[in-house]
Order: sequence, then C-alpha cells, then structure tokens
Amino acid sequence: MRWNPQTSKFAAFLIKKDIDLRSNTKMLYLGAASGSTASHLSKILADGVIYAVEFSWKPMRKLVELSKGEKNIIPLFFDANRPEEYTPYVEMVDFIYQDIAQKNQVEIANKNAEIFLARGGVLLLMLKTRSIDAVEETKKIASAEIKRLDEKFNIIDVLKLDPFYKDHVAILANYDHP
Amino acid sequence: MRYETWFGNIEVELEGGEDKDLGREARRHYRDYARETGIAVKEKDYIELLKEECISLAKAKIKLKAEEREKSIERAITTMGELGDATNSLSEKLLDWYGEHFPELRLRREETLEVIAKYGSRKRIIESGLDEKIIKKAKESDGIELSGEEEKILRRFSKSIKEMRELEDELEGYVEGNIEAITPNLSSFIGPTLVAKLLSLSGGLKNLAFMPSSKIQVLGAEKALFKHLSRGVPPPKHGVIFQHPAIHNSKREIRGKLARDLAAKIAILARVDYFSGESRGDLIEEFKDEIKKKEKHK
Ligand SMILES: C[S@@+](CC[C@H](N)C(=O)[O-])C[C@H]1O[C@@H](n2cnc3c(N)ncnc32)[C@H](O)[C@@H]1O
Repeated sequence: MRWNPQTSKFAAFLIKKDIDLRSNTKMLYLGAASGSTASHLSKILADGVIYAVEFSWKPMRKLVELSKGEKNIIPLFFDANRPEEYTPYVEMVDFIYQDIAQKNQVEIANKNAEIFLARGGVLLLMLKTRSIDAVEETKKIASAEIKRLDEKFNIIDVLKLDPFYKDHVAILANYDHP
Repeated sequence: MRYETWFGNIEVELEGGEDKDLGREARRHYRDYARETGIAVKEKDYIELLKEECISLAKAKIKLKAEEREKSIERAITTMGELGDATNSLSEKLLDWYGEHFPELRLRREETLEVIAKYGSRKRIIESGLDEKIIKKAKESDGIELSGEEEKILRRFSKSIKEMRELEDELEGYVEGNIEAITPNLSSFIGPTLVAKLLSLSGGLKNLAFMPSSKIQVLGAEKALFKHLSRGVPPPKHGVIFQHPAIHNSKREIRGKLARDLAAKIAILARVDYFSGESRGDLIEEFKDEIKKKEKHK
C-alpha cells in the first residue's frame, strides 16, 4: 500500500522536512492506532524496532494482527499516561514519535521522554491544535503548548502540516538528558 | 539494585553516584542483560521473544477488557429495552384488571403495584394497617368481587412485574459499568447512563452508528413523533437526550437547537466508536466546549 500523506501525519511531515531516519533506529511510537503508519515505518527501520503503544482495544486488535507479520513492531496495550507500566518491556530509544489527540499531549511526551528517550534522542510530536475558531488560534495554542515542553528539549523545527492536516503542527525536538 | 524486566528481575549497579537514574541505566542495557541471562543470545532473538511476549499480553488484555464482553453487553442492552417495553405494557394490563376490583384506589402506578402484591383483595386491605383513607375507600368500593383464584393470580402477576423491574435495574447497572468498553468516546462525552438508554432505544451501537442525527434527536419520543405524523401536532424537539443537563437546564427557546447540535455530535462519536474505536479525547473536549458556548448564548 502507498504511504499516503492524507492519512498519515508522519508521511505529511516527511514531505515537508527531510530527516535522517537510520535503519537501526529504536522508536517509541505513542498512539499507534491500528498500525497503518507503523507498517510503513517498520520498512524504513528495517534493522531497528518500533515499540507501538496504543490503549484502545479495537485498533489494538488490528495492531496485534499486523505485528505478527512484521518482525520489528512490538504492540504494547498500555496507556501512554502511565509509562511506568511498560518500562519492563521498553528499552531506551532514540526516537519518540507521538500522535495522540488528547488534551495532555505535551505532558505525555515529557513523561515518556524522561523515562525512555536517550540523550541526543529525537522527539517528533504531532500537536493537535484546536481549529474551531480562527487560524490565529492555532498559532497561539501551538506556542503555548511548546512552552510546556520540558526544558531538556531543544526545538529543532515547528512545521505546519497543511494542506494535509489543518489542525496539526509538527514539533521536532532534540533531547538533552543524561 | 533489583530491576524488573520482561525477561525477569535483573541486578543493576549504579556507578557514578545518586544523580544517575537507575531505570535509564538499566534500560540502556536490556539486551545485554537478556544475553547474559541466556534468554536472547542472538540480537534478533531479543526482538522476536519480546514481540511474542507482548502479543500474548495484549491479547489477554483485549479479551479481559472488551472483546468477549462486547456481545454480552449488547445483549444486555437489547434485553433492557425489550424488558422495559414489556413491563410497561404488562403493568398497564394488570392495573386495568385490578381497577375493576378496586377502581377508587387511585395511587401512583408503583404504589398500586405494591398494594396488589402485598394485599391483593379489598378484604385484605381493610384488615391491613394501611392509610385510613384507603381503608375507607375499600369499604365503600363499587368494584366487582375477586375470587380467591383471581386474587392469587393478580398478586403473583404484580410480584413478577416488580421482579422484572429489578432485573431491568440490574441490567442497567451492568451495562453502565461496562459500556465504556464498547463506546469509549460516547461514554466520556455524555456519560454511561444516557449512552445505555440510547443504545437500548436504537437496538445497539451498530444501529446508532448508522442512524441519521435527526432520528437520534427524537429517540425515545416515538409517541410524540407518531402524533406529529398522524395528527399534525408540532414535532418533538427531543427524546431521551433531554436528560442531558445541557438541554434540561437551559431555557425552552434554545432547547430545540441544542438538541439538534447534541444529536449531531452523538452521531459522530457513535461512528468513531463503532468504526475505529480510537480514543478521541480532543474531539470530546471540542464538543463539550461547543455545547457549553451554545448554552451561554441563551
Ligand atoms: C490520531 S490516532 C493515531 C493515528 C496513527 N498515528 C496513524 O497514523 O495511523 C491517535 C491514537 O492514540 C490513541 N490514544 C489516545 N490516548 C492514548 C493514550 N493515553 N495512550 C495510548 N494511546 C492513546 C487513540 O486510541 C488513537 O488510536
């Protein structure tokens, strides 16, 4: 299946920004849903591994089926709000990709980085910004949310994902924590 | 220090003082520890074994959580709906029947059922310690006499209805407690009680997901809708969703509009729950805010 920027924020992001995804990358993917994005990533990270966290059972059921056929997708049926519950399964990673449409999305990113993201690791956060009012609001919300990111993060880039996703902003950051 | 991993407990040594994080240190070397313990000797064994472990854990949790419960919850919901209809029509039958024996009683429905179950005939009511007024009415009643056999049947009938009501309550409790598993988004938007009612009126999540929002808006107001269609009285503005505080707490003039809006949002979330099951906290927040805003514009 083609990787479609209309249905995958990661694909939309890659169209806008060229990043170096090494094939041995260890990735923690928060909000993996049924794994359509994860299945494409698993080919790019052929020598790496994807720890795919999802806490709704319907998409998880599909993710489990998918992971049986992909050697490097580890399905984790957990709540990303409680990373301490999956520490026994997840090693240190060099990439956290988060696509979770929840109010406390930044807090989730902070907590998981603190536990799993290696020094120099990368966070790619798909930030949901509300779009009921104006475009102006998107900007305001994005910058307010970015301020709440842990100070151990250095922001590399903030990108709009339009025209594919009008109410999302991608944040790319580097982690500086021993 | 001891540290818990999926391949067992490991001993982690911390060098370099307390400012080092034990967990981070341990997680840097999971694969090495696994190799040392002889569990995953080759690099690719590690991922393979871990994957198996996580798949079986996830499967077990899916079962526990929902998959096997789903059918049972749906059954409870449809049973609840049918039971509600049946007890209503049966209790009307019973009250009509008993009314011939004691037409002057005129208590509320539940109280009447209680009196029938407990005493039955007027004769027993007169001998009971019930309210003076009721006893007086019983003495002066124009109703027909009940035979012993009839009295026995009516009392049993009334007790059965009471038991069916209790079963209905029990089903409702069960559904409310478990419904989140099949409607995570809808339940968090309008609460499990209202979701249970909507599902029982529509006949389950699938039906609700395929229902136009105009119909969701008047679910539970079928009688009023029928009158509208057959006699041309104004259409009902809302059915059971009236129980949502946003509607019953606001002014009459805006209730129709709010009901329409609420029903549209319910329709969307029913579809998310039915088709994907992904948890959409963002949508729920957005919807709640929008409803709040409209409430204020009264
Ligand atoms: C927008 S979808 C992700 C789509 C996916 N990234 C893709 O491209 O295929 C967000 C997912 O995050 C999940 N989610 C929401 N809150 C979560 C949490 N606290 N922990 C884990 N998963 C969560 C939802 O169930 C949903 O499946």
